[in-house]
Amino acid sequence: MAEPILRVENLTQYRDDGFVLDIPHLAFQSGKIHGLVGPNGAGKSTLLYLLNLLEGPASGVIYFREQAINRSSSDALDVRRKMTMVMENPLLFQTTVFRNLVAGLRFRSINRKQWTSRVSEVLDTVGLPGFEMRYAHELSRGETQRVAIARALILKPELLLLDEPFSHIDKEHVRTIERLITTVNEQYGTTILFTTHDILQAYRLSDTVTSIVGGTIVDGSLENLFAGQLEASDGLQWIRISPSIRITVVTDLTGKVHLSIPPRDIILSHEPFQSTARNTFRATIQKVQLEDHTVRVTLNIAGEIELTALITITSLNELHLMVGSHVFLTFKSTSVTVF
Amino acid sequence: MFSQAVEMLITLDRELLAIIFVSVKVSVLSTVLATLIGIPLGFGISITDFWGKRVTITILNTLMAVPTVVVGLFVYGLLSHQGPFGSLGLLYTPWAMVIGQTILIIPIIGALSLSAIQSVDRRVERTALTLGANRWQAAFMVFSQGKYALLAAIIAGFGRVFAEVGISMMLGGNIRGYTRNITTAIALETGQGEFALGLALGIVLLAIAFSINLVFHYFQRTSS
Repeated sequence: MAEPILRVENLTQYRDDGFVLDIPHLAFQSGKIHGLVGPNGAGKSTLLYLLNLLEGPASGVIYFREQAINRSSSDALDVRRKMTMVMENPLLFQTTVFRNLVAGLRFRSINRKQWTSRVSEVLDTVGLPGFEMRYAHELSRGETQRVAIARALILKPELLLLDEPFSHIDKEHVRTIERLITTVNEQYGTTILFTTHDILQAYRLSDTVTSIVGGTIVDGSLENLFAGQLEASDGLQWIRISPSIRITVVTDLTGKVHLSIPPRDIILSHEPFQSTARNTFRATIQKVQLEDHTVRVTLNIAGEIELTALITITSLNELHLMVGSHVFLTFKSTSVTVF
Repeated sequence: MFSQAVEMLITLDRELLAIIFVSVKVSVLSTVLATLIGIPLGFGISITDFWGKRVTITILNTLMAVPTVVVGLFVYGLLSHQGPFGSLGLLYTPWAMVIGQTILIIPIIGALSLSAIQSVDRRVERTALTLGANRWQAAFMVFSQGKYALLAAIIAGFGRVFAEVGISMMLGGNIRGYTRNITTAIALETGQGEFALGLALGIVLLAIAFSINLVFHYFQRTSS
């Protein structure tokens, strides 16, 4: 496994309004795209500010490439210059795009001879060639967002932190920025950490997804998550998720997609039953775990995939479900989330 | 009388030029000094948090409107023979005018540059830091984003000293060819019935004041 570019241990931060950020442990592997998901006010931005060393934590340690960083030490600036953050609803300085882009180069005393070529390179990358002499106030929100990302990319950071890069922009530009994130990661090997409140988007874009709610990391991951190529025949849309298993879905999307099947929507039975549900599979029970008022049943289909179903304790008793026994599982194509 | 005034302007009357020169010299010097003190003052107040900050800002704003004769009186007390700095012999010299005028506009330049810095988007500093700026570079970025409003502050200060008469009269003494400037000359010549020179100087003063205001509004518009 690659070394973590960033690791935090026992990190806490307090705000005047009573908000508390408390993260016992979190690590981000180098060279990957990491999604940080959570509702507004969950602490995503606070965490990013701490990671970017813009503010110091109340307690805890941040490691950059396994080296503990002390914000007040002299090498903190060097570490800060290896990463860049694009803030939510980013601000461009009131001047030309060119001058915005070279701001970070100026701070680093990078030779002016390199400026022009680096500016045009990043403007190409973000799809805004020839924008050098435009003024910041002339740009649309999508363009502003892309210039802000270009202003970060021009510094060739090892780690790029993007705070809510998709808020404040329209749907069409969301796709542009999504593609940009993937491209930058592939072309430059830049580690990217972005925040979003859209969990599906996080799964679509990133190698790892971390959920943060109320200032702490929670297990909010999507269950029964698969990826595959969307195909269609006989008026049905389906995705093959393993050699012998295809899942019927309903979606407007095309191409390579992800899908997630909510465990609550999976029905278990001893015999296949006649219904309108399009997905029925024979499965073997692998694990039965009792939770508060529900039972989490892990099922294996054809030795190829695992699915989790949530059922009531009553159902468990009535169906006599035991590890190793065979059941049929059924779910509607409209229950499947495709993204 | 009016034609006489215009003639003085066209022929560049020596006395007229000498008076204008004193005005420009003293005003520029006091504006430079007040800028060197006022801008760091405004900048310092805006970026630091200290006990009594709001009261300080209120006092600064109040001092913007202090009458020139009050400043004149205060500095006169310091520079007169019996005063603590009387031995320096500065009273009735251009330097006395410079001191008085500088004190007059430090609050103006200070308060206006304070609001200039405060009007800069708070995200500027943070954005600069995310781009790898050190503390000084980030502060300079805030400064440069407020540069038009800061220029407007300086011009407002210059406009105030250029047109004031109380300090120049009380501390300069209106000595011909030495401390006589446009405003004190107008006051004196009019009092003596010499309307032509007074009128010519009045035209110059108006023209300069008008230009200053044009530039001031240009920078204020640009900054917003």
